[in-house]
Amino acid sequence: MLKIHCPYCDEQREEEEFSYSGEAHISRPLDPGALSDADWADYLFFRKNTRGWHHEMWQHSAGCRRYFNVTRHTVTYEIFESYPMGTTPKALPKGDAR
Amino acid sequence: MSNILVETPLHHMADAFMTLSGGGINIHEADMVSHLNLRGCASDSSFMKAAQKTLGFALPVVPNSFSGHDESAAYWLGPDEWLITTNDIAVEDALRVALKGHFAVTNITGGQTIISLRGGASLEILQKSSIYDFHPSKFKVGNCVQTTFAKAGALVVKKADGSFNLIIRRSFADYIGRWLLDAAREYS
Repeated sequence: MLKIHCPYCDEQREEEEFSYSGEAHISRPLDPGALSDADWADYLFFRKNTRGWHHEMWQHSAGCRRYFNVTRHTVTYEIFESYPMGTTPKALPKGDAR
Repeated sequence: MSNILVETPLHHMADAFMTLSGGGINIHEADMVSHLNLRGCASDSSFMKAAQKTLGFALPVVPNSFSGHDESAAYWLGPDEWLITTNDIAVEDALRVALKGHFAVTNITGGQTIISLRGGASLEILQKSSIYDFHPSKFKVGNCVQTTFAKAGALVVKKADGSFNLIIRRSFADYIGRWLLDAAREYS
């Protein structure tokens, strides 16, 4: 069970209140019509499968219902930070997670 | 046309709740009030001022808190979203007149109901039904929190007299009512 800090409620809450929403910081192509099928498929379907620190989106679905970003280590599950949508993540800690 | 009987979502459980009273727990469904969902920008001072003027108290901007009194209250649901409960039916129209610009007032009266939990056992009932930490050192008078209650969603409110209000969906009301009857049995 993860304890996730919601940047809007400003509290640590149980994972049960949240739903996972996949990789963060994927921007929609400005002109989708100009994209090749391969590039469009890459935008729609293909995600990193990171081993290590991962920026991902979560929704506080049972709480304030807002989306936000979390930097989580996919091996140790350590959470480095959570930050609101539209903000930039901090530099990752040096080396691997504890 | 004959009078239409107004029934709250848990009117069929009122008697069952009554049989519990007298012990450590007193459960009853609150009378019907208006539930309004208000969306707007908290950093827009004209929006906040107009809402305050209409409601008679300021919208809460601190997360997980509420403002107001027994007749009318505003609960923080998100950075740009509030729930207003009021027994004055004119508030909805008054808000629409007073607020300008980018905002939304949605009447969700038919979708929600309020259950009041009183008595020494109410804290224990909350603690065994929810994953949130309701310990009095953390969840204080004036706090409200949206969390899971018996796997359903609920807005839990701690009132000035120390009792709790559960604001729940109408569609989950029967389920939560039955859950409460079961959870409260050991204290009655």
